[in-house]
Amino acid sequence: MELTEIISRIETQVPGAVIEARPLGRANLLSVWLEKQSIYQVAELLVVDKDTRLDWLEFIGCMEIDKALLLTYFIRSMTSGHRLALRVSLPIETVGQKSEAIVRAWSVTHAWPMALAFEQELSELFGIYFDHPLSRPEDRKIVRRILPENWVGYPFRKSYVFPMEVHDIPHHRPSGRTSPDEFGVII
Amino acid sequence: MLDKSSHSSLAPLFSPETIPTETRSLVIGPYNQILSGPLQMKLLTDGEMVVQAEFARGYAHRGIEKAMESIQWRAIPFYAGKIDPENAVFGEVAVCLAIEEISGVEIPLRAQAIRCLLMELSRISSHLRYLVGLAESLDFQTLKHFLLRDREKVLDLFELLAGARYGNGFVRPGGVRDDVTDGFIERVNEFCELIPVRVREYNDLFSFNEVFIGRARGLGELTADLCFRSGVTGPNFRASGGNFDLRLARPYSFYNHLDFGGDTSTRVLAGVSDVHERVVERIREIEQSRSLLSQLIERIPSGPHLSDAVGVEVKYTVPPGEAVGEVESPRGHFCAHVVSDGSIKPTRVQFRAPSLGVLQVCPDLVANIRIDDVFLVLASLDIGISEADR
Repeated sequence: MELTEIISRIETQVPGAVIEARPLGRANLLSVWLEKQSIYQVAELLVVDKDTRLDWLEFIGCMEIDKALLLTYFIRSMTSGHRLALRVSLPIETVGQKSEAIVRAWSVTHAWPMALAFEQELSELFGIYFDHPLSRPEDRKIVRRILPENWVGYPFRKSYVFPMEVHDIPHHRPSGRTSPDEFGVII
Repeated sequence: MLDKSSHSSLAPLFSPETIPTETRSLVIGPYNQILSGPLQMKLLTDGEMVVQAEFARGYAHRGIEKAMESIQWRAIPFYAGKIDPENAVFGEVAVCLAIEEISGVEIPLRAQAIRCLLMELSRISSHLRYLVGLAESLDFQTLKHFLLRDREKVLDLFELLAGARYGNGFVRPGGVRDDVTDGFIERVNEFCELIPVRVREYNDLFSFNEVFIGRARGLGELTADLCFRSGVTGPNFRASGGNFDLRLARPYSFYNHLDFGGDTSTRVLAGVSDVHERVVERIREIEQSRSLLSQLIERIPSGPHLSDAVGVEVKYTVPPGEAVGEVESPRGHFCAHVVSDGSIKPTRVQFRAPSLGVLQVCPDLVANIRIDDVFLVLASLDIGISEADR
């Protein structure tokens, strides 16, 4: 099945899901921008559908661009070798003076179980809660696995301000320069 | 409690059926001798059997991806090598492939072949180090010293080429830092001639050793289905019956000029691998790498080692865009997703570390085995804590 057919099938079965489709960089890889609520259904469709069988998630990319987190799901079919990138943009809501609000996204572990490790990592580093239909409101919090339990903030966000001391140990950073840009490392 | 009436002989007292046990928790680590980095194991044990296991990671998290956003482009490949110092060249090549794709730079064939030479030598070195870890977990000192002796020869080759034995930073966007040194190809050829002799030695000592087979067969069984659900790739996946090797599926660098020998899809595998099968797979891959190295020596083209399109100026920039560089590292499918906004620093560099998937299957694999087998199973999976935590 051609990739263009896959896109038309998504549009038919999940109306309004596809925002646009365009190549990812110079590579021979198509990226499909999806409406953020539709990723849960689209993921299921791409795995279950006998013709597409995009059953392997290579990894989930995440980056912050223009006050939004951009998730990229790099997927592949183990049988046909077809590849596709799905993209979802998640706006970061500002709370008061800080941009520390947790962003909610749909989990795709029901379709690609291997997504769990990537979702857990992105969750604590970017402050994304990967939701699923059976979650309870009290569960919707970030679990620390890599960082210490009492770590404040989400260090991979652009707005993150490095702490001046951790566990009473001062950071050796010039005073007043707390972000990487201000620090201006020249190597 | 013990029944004192059964004290007539020692045998029933110490049999697994009669010995009194209770569930206990045991915390090992984070620092241990077998794994290449810190990983804490929380085991729930019943007697000497592991009932349940949980792994706590993050002790080697250095925030390398975040740090890369604050350094200049020309330093990025060196940082990428630190993702997994054991296999530094794979991180460097993955990032350079992505940077080259964004920049639209054509890499000279000689540079591609030199990269492949480095990668295959590094793969052999990594698999030998893997076998050292396994020999350590078995307390098999003879084999460990034999393996380290041969690994030294690979490190000597790195020293001859780049001046450094470990994490040599030889790859750079546009090609490689320098051309091969005099006598390097001849030394690689000598090493290739040595490998079949050594592989036979390892097989006699280890892979076909009845004592090892008796312990490793049926231990830590990893099914292809579990690999699939957890995203396990590389030799662990191939040993379990998976048929994915990026060098064949989507050839990069010079691999499309090389013959991998035989049709790998016809291999008959049970769809499940134990410790022994995973060891045999690594030894098989050492032999495969030797074949690839021999072909590279014959077919290495002449020409420049660095593209003219890439400048050597200090403020080297990459045009706006994004790309994914992928390589088949000794631990599996390794990716680097690189995004540039046209400035002297990257917007985002992200890695897919194959060990992350392997860590997902560890709790399943160490359940219902003996405590002293836990390290053997973990050593057989080749987990790179450094690359998983990053």
